[in-house]
Amino acid sequence: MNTHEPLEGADQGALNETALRILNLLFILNSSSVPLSTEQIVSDVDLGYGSGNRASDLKKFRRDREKLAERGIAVKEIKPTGGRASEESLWTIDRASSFAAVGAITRDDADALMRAVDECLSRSDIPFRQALLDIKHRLDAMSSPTAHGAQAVADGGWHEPSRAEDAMWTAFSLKRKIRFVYRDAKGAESQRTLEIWGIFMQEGHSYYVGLDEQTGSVRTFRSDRIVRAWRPAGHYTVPGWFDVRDYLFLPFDLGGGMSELATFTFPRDMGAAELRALTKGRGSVVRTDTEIRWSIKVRNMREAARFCLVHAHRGMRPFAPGKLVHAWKDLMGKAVEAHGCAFGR
Amino acid sequence: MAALSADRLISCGIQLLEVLSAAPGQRCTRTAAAQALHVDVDAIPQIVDTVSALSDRTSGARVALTLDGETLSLTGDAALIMPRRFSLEESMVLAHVLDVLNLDEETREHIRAAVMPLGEAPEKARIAEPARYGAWFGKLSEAIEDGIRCRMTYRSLEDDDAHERVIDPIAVTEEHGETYLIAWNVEKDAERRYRLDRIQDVTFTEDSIEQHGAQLMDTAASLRESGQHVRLAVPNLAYLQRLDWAGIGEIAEEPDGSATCTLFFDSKHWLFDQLLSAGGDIVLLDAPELVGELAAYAEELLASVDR
Repeated sequence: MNTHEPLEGADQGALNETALRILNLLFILNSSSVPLSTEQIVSDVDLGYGSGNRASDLKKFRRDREKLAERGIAVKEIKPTGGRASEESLWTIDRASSFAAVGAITRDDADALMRAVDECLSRSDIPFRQALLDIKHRLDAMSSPTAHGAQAVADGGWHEPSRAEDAMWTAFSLKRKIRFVYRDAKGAESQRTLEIWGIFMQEGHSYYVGLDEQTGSVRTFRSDRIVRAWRPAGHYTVPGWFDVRDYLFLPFDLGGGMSELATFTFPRDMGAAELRALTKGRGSVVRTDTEIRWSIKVRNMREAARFCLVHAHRGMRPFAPGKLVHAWKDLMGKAVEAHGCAFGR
Repeated sequence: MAALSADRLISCGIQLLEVLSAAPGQRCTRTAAAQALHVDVDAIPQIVDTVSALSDRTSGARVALTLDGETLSLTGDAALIMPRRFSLEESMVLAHVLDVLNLDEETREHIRAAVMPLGEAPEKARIAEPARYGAWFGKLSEAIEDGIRCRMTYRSLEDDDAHERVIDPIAVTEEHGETYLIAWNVEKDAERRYRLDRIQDVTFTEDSIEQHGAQLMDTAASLRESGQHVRLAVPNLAYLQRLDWAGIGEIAEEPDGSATCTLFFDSKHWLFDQLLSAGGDIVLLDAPELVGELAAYAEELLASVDR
């Protein structure tokens, strides 16, 4: 992830030497037609090793390989086969794991992917626009290097993310904690520190979900209510049980008290895509011989009944518990009676 | 401006070689390079100075990189570098795109094998959104791009079963969190909108699409064009503002604080469901026939549950 962080007041010369050595290591390994021996590398003064202290140069070489690996370039060791144990290793770039297998993507694959990326880029609610633009430019270069390449970058829709947006995405992608000021729906501001475990987009907004240090609980924050953010710091791991899809909200999620399991039915022939869109992929779905049953935890039974009625034309019906069915009938009865008609007699 | 850190310089150096390797004639503008590297254009000379100092004493090879005014050029083959596989961050985003757009499994597998990191255990998805592209986005977007007439199986709000239609797909659009296909229904000879998640099948025909003078109407315009309309009464204006319905037209506030509005709609079933779910808060005005149909519809629903 790019951080846009310039060096401030450090020893620029020494840092350039490090960058030069690591880039040169990449250059010689990439341009050489044969693997290079450990000795060739660590004794090369021009390359930035050859200090006279072999142990120190070997450590430096190991650290440099790690730096390249962080940037997706794996340097692999080749042990001489059948050779003596004292024989030194050879080193080369592991091309299969470092470089994209450009030829493996057909023109059709690339086109399909580009259309998908363009569709996502056309939306305003995505918090990973910059990563998508990078993907688009790289795919462009991979799929048609002679026609696109760097010029396409200049033509592409450049979007400068806000500093807070950029910091939140960096924190998410690198799994670093982030401190930010949040303005809630009532306009009250508070400072939070969050481990961003997941991100979801819904109804034109994006949301960050994770462990909020202030409350010690998993909370959701809407991205456009983040006023400012600090530099991310401090690693975390995402618990295995966490599934961001559980946080896609449904109208009956809000309400006091304990949640209760409710079950709804749908016609057996309802398409999988339609069902997934309606249920948000939450809860559990069972297909019986005659219908589809969807069970999900509900906090507000009346809102669940209302949700069921909103989708009645799609064959959605209440199944259990009894108070869900009762609330559903009650809503219908009140609606019909408000129009001056009798109901259910 | 401040110099770039060593870490940043390494990343930028690799990216610059990648960008120039892929560029036509291995040339690009300083501005384009700065955008690709996410740095200020003033940082480019420092990166160029570092990269152009790279050399191999043994072979005599060196990086022939020059910045001439606004143009960056890389000469010779020694420094050409293949595009790297995607980073974990890029792979996470790409995996989400492949998942949410529902591209077919074969395409996904090709892409995974070609550009995703090898040997990394796939991380559990950390990005989510409601499914709304259905299963046919890939095929429909291909048809739009290539101008192919399609045969589509679709279940509308008024249909109990899906029906086949011949369509000329025009565009995919998003509104109120739903994704629609705008297409020309060839048999009806009219522009129509179809929700992607209700499409059950799409096949290409041998025919190309024809020009129809489509207007690419949004839902509101489409409802006004082809829908029916009713007058509704609601408790107050605030209630009305919470209704996220594209078909709401003229609004009036009544002396008692209640409000009325015109509603354009194209499906009676949809309208009845909204009225029933409101539990009496929304009432039809001056539509006795519709009231009768509403009551009958409610009785049908009740019977379907009591059976």
